Amino acid sequence: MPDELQDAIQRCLENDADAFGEIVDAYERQMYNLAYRMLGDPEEARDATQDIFIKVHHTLDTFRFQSKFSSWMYRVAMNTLIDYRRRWLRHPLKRLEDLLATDRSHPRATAPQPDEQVLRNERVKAVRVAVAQLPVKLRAAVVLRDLHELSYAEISEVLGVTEGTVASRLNEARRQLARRLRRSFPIHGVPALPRETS
Amino acid sequence: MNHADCDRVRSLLSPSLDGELTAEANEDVSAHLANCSACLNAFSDIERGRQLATMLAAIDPPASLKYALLRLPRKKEALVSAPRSRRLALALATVGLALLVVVGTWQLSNVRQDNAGASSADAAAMIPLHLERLTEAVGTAQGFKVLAAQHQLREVNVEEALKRASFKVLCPLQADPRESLDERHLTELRACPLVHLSSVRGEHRIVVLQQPAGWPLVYGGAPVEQVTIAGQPCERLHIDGREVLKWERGGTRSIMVAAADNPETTKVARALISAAS
Repeated sequence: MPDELQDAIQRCLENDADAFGEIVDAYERQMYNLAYRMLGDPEEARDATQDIFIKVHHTLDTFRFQSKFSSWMYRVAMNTLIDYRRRWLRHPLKRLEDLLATDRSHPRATAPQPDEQVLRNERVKAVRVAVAQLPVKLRAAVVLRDLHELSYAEISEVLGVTEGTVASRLNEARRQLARRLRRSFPIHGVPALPRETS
Repeated sequence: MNHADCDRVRSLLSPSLDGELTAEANEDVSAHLANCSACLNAFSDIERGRQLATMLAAIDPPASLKYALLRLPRKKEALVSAPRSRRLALALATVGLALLVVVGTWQLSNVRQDNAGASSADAAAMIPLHLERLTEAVGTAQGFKVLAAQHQLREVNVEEALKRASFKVLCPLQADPRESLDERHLTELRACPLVHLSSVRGEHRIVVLQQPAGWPLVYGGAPVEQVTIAGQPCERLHIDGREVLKWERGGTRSIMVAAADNPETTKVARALISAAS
């Protein structure tokens, strides 16, 4: 954790509202992306990110400076998101919307695109949908590792499982992704596609 | 190659790809893969899945998110500094409420000004709730305040309501139900005895009021239809182009008002009843 953020946490605990802004600056993007990948919907991700930061603000005094702040932050976020999704799925209207969901990903420019670009976008979309369809435990592992680049030790701390469990969940998640995307990527090996852009 | 060996190596495939193994363990995995086509296939799948997952790049958060996040500490301060009575009301609302709530595109113009001075003494006399007046008052903050003062409608804890219902809040200051809340909205919502919430779909506005089940209620002569929604007996009637649904559960009466042609009415009622059960 950068020293300046440690200072910000300390000041935040002393009710310095500006210090909370520094934590927001440092983690807003990561938390929004985590929420987006876990929930699969940009609007829900926006609301969930607010819930995450509300919880962080309310429970910051439980953070012990011995551990990494990022791990603590991710743990709070993941617990919030799992609760959030559980509530979401319990809600009849939401469940209905979930079932009927079309692609509600980020709006993108709709200017005419060359065929190759269209194909690439379709493939990226296929990956996004496949990740969103993974069981939540597998999705959490793959999102934390492959998108947020957390170490196994950090993922283990965030999810409260052993590193061996992290490894087996990653094995299974990646195997399922490869299997589900065989039709979208028929050739063996993944072609060099550009990464998804916002 | 025995099965135990294969199982052991397969558990190390992702750690091997992710650089989580020691050099020695990596060599061990490589040596096994060189002689075991089944494990090599598994390795290829896992490697492919990993490559696919990493195609998804980070997304920029919406610009409005930071604005909302930076105001969170002030929201907390506002709650902490609220008068004790309000905090107590919020706590009671949190514990006892199923909730809710609103949304409405209607522009109601004829709020009864003669009700504006209603006092708590009036409320103590248990003034009957006239459904006709309710349908008039729906849609304006002042109308809600008058109704709430007269009928002791319970205050809704906005944050809790949001969490429970997964609905988004709309208050009278908001033009667009999808617009995010900021502090001025929350301040108004806290001051207002009833909360305006909108369906996530945001197109149709619906008002739900709650009060004790035993409170006197006047139907105004409109024919009442008995319906069942989500297993809950409800009464449905139409007044002045609006549909009114009423149900009672656990000592609480919920009354929902919506435009008569609102296709979401029954769905939202079902959602609220199910959420409260």
